[in-house]
Amino acid sequence: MENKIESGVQLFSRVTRKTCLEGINPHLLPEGKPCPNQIIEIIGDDSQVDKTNLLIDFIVRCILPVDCNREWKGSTAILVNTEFQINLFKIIKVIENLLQKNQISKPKKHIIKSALKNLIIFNCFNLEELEVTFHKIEKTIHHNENVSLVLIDNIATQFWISKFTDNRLSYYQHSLRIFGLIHDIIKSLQVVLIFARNENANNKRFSKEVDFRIEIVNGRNDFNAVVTNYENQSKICVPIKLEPFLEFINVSNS
Amino acid sequence: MSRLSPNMHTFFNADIIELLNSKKIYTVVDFINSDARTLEKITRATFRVGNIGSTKPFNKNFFCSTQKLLRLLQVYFIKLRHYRNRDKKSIKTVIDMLLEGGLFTANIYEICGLPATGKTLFCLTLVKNVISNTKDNVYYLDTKRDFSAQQLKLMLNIDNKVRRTRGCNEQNFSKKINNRKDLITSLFEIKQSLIEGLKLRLIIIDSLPALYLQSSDHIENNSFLNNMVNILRYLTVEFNTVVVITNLITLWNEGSFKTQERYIENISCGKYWYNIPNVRLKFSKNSENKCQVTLLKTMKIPPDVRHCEVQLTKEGIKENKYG
Repeated sequence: MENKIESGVQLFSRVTRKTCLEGINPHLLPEGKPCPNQIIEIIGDDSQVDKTNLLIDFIVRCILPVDCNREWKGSTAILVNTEFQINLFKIIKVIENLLQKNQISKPKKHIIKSALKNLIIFNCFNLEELEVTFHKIEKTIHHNENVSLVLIDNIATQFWISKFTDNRLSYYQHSLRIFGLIHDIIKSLQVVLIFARNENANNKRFSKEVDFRIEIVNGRNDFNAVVTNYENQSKICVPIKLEPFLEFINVSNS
Repeated sequence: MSRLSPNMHTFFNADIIELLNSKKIYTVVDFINSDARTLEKITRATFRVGNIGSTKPFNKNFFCSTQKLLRLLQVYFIKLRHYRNRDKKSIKTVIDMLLEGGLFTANIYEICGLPATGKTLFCLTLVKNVISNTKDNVYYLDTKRDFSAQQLKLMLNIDNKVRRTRGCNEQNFSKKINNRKDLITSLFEIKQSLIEGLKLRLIIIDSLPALYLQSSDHIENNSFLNNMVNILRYLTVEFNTVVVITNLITLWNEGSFKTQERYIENISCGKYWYNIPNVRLKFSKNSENKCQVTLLKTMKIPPDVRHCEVQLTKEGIKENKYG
């Protein structure tokens, strides 16, 4: 039997029951996924598509109160903001539109206030801050047991700074190194990790630790999300319409 | 990279730092990524004495701010109130409508277009408006060396803002930028001035390609942009400022030399830069004095209005009234 060494925080997180994100988006992640400790990668070429809206959708579904919609989780999300394309103004607009669509009778201001209390944002302005912040995340999760989602937008923002010091470094290697740093820290903290990268799709799996890959491509409507589930080797294509919030149209298996 | 220094924590005296350096632990990141047992061995300190292995000593200096709870909410409500007020009273012009009420702080705006389409005039109009209507300062970083204080004064005079003409010199800090080093140094100077209490709302860089095209080395170019963007993000987010950067659009022929099939428009400064601005406005000339402004990238989803037409006059950009 293999020995597994874990830190006190990891042990504490493993034995503590937390809110989970199962069923947060049944269109993209059917069968009650993602489970705690699973990892989702969002990729796409930013010159053609915008991944920000999908990241915001995950944030909003995570932080909105659970009693209003069964896809909302009322849980805390940590956003590691390195690209600064996700702003609060956008998040609030999406929440307002979702509340209107779901005809929630409760006071809007109160719901937005309580939802924003569930959002922790770390602004990282350089590579050093990003690496140090990863260590801070462990502590934050330890202090706030309601945290169930960690988002990183984008994992390789500081690529060109690293590339300048190491000429042979590739975008993939840099992304993998940053991913390794965060994965080592949160691997058994019972949270879902979602990270974005600006890369065109290839069939190669980014890392064996990644459970789902969501690739955003241009589609007949606004754009399509091609979801690869590495666990059962399935692939689905979900057309997405860009309303003030994302509307997932239907699912076709391939 | 921040090197370990004695002022970071009482534990870091000169001897300890020397010991760490001898084992190739120079920076904060090196220290944090090192194993606690290794650190104990090197420094001969116990876990409890030095707080080694914990990131606690660096909290104050190195962790970025956790914008939670009230701070976040305050920012939101101020902006919302601001926005709603603007919605009722101040959205008078089509560009304001295009930008959902004006320029929002903590964002980088890009003004792009073919040469001579009114980009610089738009920047000067912004300077004029900030000087005329507020007591805030403006930084104008001029890389093309064609900023004219006389023209700005003229624009203020024509606009009957005599009272504010003095502000042209007092509130507007224009600086000529010769090379990339100049720009980075200037941005650090601005950061220092902001820390010392300068009231700054707008930073204009006119224009980016003048610096980007100084070298053809792809890695050097992108790492310069990466560095610049890091500082700009810090200035916009931490000090609530707006950055406006002008950029060129280039035309590329799709056919061969003999058969010019059609031209494709490309935003200058490469693929890395393409994702950086939060909002992108494209200027294109319709006629001698008229110009079309198109919203290519925006914060709002999806935009209600994408185009508007403006006039290029001596007073600056003159917009049509909204509604």
